[in-house]
Amino acid sequence: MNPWLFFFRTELGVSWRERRRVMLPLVFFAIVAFLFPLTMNPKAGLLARMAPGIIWVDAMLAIFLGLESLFRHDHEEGILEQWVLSPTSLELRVLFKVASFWTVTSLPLLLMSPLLVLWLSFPVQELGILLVGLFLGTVTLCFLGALGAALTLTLRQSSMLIAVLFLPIATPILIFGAHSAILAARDLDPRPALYLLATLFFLTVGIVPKAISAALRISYET
Amino acid sequence: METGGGQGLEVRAVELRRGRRLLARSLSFGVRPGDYLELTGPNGSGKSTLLRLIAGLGRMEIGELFWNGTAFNPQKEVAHHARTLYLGHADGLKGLLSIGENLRLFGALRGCRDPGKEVEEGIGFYGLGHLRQVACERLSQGQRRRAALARLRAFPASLWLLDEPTTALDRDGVERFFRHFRLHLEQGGMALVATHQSLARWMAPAGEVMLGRPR
Repeated sequence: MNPWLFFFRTELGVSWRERRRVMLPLVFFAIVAFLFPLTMNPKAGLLARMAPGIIWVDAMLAIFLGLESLFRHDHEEGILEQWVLSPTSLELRVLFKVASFWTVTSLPLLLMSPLLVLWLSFPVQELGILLVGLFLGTVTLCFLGALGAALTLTLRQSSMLIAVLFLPIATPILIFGAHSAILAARDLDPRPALYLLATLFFLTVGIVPKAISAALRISYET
Repeated sequence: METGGGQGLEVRAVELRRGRRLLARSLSFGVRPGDYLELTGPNGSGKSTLLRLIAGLGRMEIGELFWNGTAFNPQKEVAHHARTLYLGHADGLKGLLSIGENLRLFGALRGCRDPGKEVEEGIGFYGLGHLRQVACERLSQGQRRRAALARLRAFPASLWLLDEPTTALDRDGVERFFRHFRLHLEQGGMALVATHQSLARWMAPAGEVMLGRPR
């Protein structure tokens, strides 16, 4: 089997073995999202207008909660130093690592979103636009968050620092992501917002793995 | 030390620092194929720091490394990473994966397409066959150490950088390690071993690099 595929599969396998820790935040956020219609004024249209925001904030928080442990275990077990010293590309390894992180934190949310859309009475015919936006945005958020996690790897109590680094960077993506779905729900053209998300997507996937690798290398230069 | 043309690894005029503290100045030595050097010194004298520096985990501010007479940067040179195996204090095993899975993962790290046979060889050599399926977090420290050493057996490299390799090993484990070590040197391998207990009663080193008291 291709070593990269094997690596990706093993990373997913490890997440599956600790699925309780990995999946619980997702279950929690799903419940939070399902609570909104129960606790809010059921006035027509209000919920539908808020739905994209709720789903996007959910996605962002699910990613954020996983960031602290993204590289931490590998660092403590001495796996990361083997990564840095391996003759294979560190950038590509980081890319696959973040891809597996996306698969366990964001993909379940994407799969769940048809249900959420129904529950929050968001127009079902715009589900496609919402999913495209979510896909582009969550991948971008995962890479940017991983950069924050790599930069704070050797610091104590890094979770607050990650929050301070990650949330401001995440804000524009959230704005354009939620906006694309809102535009679609209003029968307006969502493409400008989606194009912007796509631009950010390609920029981060192309550049950020390099930055993460550099951050990991530096963290071993004491 | 000769300049250039020397076989193996040569360390020339390296300055060793941890943070801002100077640990050693103009450190020079060489390892030739088939030889190993013992790295000794009191706690905090920089043995691990030196090994990590040579492996490529730190930035070398002053000094140079040569391989067969050619200077190289240990942080950047991919060929150096391919020919070198570093084993530090951490075993580098994922706790949730078994020994077999860990070794195969390490094989993927080294770019090995189908490491099945090599992995079996490493597991067999260190007598870990019956533990193949057990998650590494359930193993004892000595067993984990064996698994880490099995990596060296499964994926040979010409230069070993070992930091206290025999820690936590029982007598049988130490014997297996030295049988392995001897084979490695006979095949023209090299090693730099940081240690507190002299290894000379098992196998005489070609020399000793002594690091001084930390300042």
